[in-house]
Amino acid sequence: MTETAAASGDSESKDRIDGVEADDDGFDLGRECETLTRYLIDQSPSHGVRGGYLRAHRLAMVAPREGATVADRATLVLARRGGLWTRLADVHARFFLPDGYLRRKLVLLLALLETDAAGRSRADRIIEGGRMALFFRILWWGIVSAGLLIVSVPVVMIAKRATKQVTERATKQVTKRATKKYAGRNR
Amino acid sequence: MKTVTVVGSGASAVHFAQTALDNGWRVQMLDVGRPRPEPEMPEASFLNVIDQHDDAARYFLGDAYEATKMPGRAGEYHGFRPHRGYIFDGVAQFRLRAEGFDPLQSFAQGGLAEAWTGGVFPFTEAELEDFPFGRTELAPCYDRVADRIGIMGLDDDIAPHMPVHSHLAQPVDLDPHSAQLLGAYEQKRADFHRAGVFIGRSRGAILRDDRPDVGRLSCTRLGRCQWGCPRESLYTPALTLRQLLSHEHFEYRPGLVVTHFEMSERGRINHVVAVPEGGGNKQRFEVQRLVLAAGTLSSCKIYLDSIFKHGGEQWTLEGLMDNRQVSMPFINLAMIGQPYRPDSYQYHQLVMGLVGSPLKHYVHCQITTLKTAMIHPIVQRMPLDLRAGLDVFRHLHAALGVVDISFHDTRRPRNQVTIEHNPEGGTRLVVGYTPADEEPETLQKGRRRVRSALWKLGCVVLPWMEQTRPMGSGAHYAGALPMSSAVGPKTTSATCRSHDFENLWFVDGTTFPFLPAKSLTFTLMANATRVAQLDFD
Repeated sequence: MTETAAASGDSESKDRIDGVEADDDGFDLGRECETLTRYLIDQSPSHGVRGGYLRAHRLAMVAPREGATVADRATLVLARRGGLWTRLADVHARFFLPDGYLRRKLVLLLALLETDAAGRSRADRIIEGGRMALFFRILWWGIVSAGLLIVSVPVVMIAKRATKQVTERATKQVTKRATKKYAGRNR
Repeated sequence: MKTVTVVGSGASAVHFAQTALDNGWRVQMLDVGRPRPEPEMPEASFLNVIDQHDDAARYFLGDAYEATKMPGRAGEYHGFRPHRGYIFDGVAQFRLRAEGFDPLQSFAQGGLAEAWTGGVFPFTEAELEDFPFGRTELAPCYDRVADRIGIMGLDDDIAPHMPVHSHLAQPVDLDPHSAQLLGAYEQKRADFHRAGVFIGRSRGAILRDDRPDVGRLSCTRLGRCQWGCPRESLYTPALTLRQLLSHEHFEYRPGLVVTHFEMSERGRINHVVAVPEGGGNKQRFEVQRLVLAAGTLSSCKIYLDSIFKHGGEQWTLEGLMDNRQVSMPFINLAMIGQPYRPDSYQYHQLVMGLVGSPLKHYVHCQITTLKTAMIHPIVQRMPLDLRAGLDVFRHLHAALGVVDISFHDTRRPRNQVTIEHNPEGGTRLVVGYTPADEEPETLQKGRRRVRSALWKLGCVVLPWMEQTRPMGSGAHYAGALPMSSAVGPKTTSATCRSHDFENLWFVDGTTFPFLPAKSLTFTLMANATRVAQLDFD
């Protein structure tokens, strides 16, 4: 949550920065919805899906109950980059953080997509082809996923370290500003 | 005029009431009775709702998207649908502590059957062996209930294990996946029968023709069954309650929680006491005859609290039963890459019976193929990232199904219902359940037989996706005050009349002395009709 958001105290506006709805780490949720939807179904989300995504975050039903861990933050940072980064983060989360923040966002988004006309037609379109086609498809995805999983371990480790440093820096800055403000009031 | 007071408005309550009214009795029904919401877009199919609803996400996922199956919530592949949450909301006056049991409760109009999947399966003679009456006495009651509610089914291979009754309508067309499975079974029929496996069309409480007199429309395969049938083709007890409301001798008092009854020193009940659900003064209703039909757990609580309040005795009732259930998802190899038909009846269209010895230990399986559904609960469980999982799912949608396997239960002294002091005031119900010692073996044997049958049908099972549901999730509670030909305390007569209180009857599952594997709902309705026919004529 940004300092502005924290100071406002208004539950509707507390996640807004400069008119944009943001996650509690300040990232633009609309942009995030776009990136994750393109990852899932290769198209932009509809207005309804985007609205539902923002609403779900406002309702606080997406974040893990115990709060996002450093690993959660790291995978989110990667996923938000889009493209192969999102897939790498999702593969990692599937096996190491199955109940984590990224997975929760993706599952919620899938639920919204399947209740949206445009989303459903992409998410649930039938791919024809028999057992052999499925077998090769699973084999392909299995190989890709295994490769990404192996690569994801060091990548997420680096991302975790970077995320931790950024968080510590941000916390120091907020504390410094708060201390200055308090000291200024008491003169 | 003779009056009977009925507590509850579930499956047994409404059919008891209907029959008593037909016999010239006046019926007073006391109920919490949370009302069902009005159906939305009654002519729209599943896909039409997605296309045309103002906020389809809220319709399918709930106002706060609470029906989204988020990661980390293990268990069912689906949650309770929004607009059905009212069925399971509790009341402050009913508190429960359970060990080894995870019960569901309902205080809605129509009770737990408002959330059922419509399966109506009559008991066989063997399954009624422990009851103090046989099929001959119950058969006409099955007919009568079938006429009232509308049932579809066939006289086919499963009929010897699911007796045919009158008023059986032609079932809806099979969806392509179910048709493929039935075809595969028919090609190897002899083989299946040698293994004691029988497959046939499921029996469902579905209307095939419009019934304008009761405001119900026939099934047109909208594919929205799980969200509550908007055409009221799928029967639920609240529909009978609605009909009863127009009867001149039927008095319905909703918003009341019956806490106990009061009795004279000679053991005759003279009043029932209820409190308004939202709080307020107690209300006492004079009683000539009292029928408890609030569901086994609620009926037992009323019974136990009454005895406790009268004389301070804390009784324990033994023999609680429920069906153990196992979910076994499968993939039909022949259906991979096929399209699915969204305009299909969503629930089970096939049943599979596993016959063994003794006959009453028949294992009941409902085969539900995947048609319209929320797909996110399934996709997230695949051992792949979500994008790859979605891709694989697209190949598999029409090939997926689940077998819900149900096992019988017997009365055992260890399984008890009693009351204790509630730290927040009053009493609470205490339920303790321990599975039978032989249960692991029974379950293993049943699973093996089902896997083998599925393999013969060309289906593969994913063992890591099998689920043994917690005890209590079957919601077929029975057995705490069994019917018995012998007169004794904590039992009832063959017409479900209490042997402890002369003017008290139980018409819900409380009195069943044995619980076959099949859903007991149809038999509850038939038995309640039978009791009213015999003792309230």
